[in-house]
Amino acid sequence: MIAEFQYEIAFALTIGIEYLVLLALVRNGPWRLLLYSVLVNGLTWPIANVVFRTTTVSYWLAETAVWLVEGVLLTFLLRTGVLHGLGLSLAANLVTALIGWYATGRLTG
Amino acid sequence: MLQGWKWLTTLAPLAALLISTTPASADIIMPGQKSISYCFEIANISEFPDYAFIVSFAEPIGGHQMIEQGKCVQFYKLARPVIYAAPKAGFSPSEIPADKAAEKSYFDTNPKLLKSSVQISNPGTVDEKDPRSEAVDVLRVVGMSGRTLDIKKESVRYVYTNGARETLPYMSQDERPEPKAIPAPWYLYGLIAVPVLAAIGLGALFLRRRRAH
Repeated sequence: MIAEFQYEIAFALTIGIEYLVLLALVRNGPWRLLLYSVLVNGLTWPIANVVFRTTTVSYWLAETAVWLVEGVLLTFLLRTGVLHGLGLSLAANLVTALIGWYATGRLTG
Repeated sequence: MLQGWKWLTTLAPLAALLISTTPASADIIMPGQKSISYCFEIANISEFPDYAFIVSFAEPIGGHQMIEQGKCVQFYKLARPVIYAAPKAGFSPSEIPADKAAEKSYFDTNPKLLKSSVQISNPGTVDEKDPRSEAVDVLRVVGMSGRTLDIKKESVRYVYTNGARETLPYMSQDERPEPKAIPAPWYLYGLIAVPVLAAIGLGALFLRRRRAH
């Protein structure tokens, strides 16, 4: 049964965890941040999964691309500086990437 | 970004160990073959509240199970299950003997039991290129008369290795419908639709802001 919904669960977990990280760091506009988390991850998560699953792109390279794209989007959405946007994205993606990395014991690639 | 299949790989072996209780999992699978998960269920047991439904695995290993509404019955791939119904009045599941010979005798001679002739088979193993990973036969009780329990195979639900699902109706009671073409899994549509919707949402937000300025 878990396998049936693995994509939905992973997608929902990614949105939920990144949202909590953003909320902890921004501490303003929880519903707005939830909308941003859904939109930003809705754009990057499916594309990154397709790329990662169908090409030889490494896990960490895919994560880096996701970090940069989400960082730019958060910069515009939150009307903040590029460094701040990239920092928020880095924190959010680092948490989910490390959870995924730890959960599978995947040390490379 | 959590990769769906990644965290799953840590849980899957444990889940498989817990779930896998049939002897079939211990069988040797020939090269070029793979095993697929199989079970059957009876869709309309709830329409017969006065009857208990039992499946007997007289051949080759013995044993029996009560069939409940919504329960999918798994069994050893070489077993030949026979389904019975018994009026609940005066029946207790504990009256069925555990001893193989006594159990067989119980099912062969008990005048209270209604017996079905539906032939149920567990496909067990298939060619490793076969797209199916799970199969569920859906049966339906269509009548009871005398000592006869009339059950028909209604449909088979397949889950494919790519995650797609399909339900095919039985056209012949003797032949399980074979998958014709593997349908595209739902998540392929999701992988396209979700980013498109997200891009539209982000675009709308940016446009709204530009206009506000």
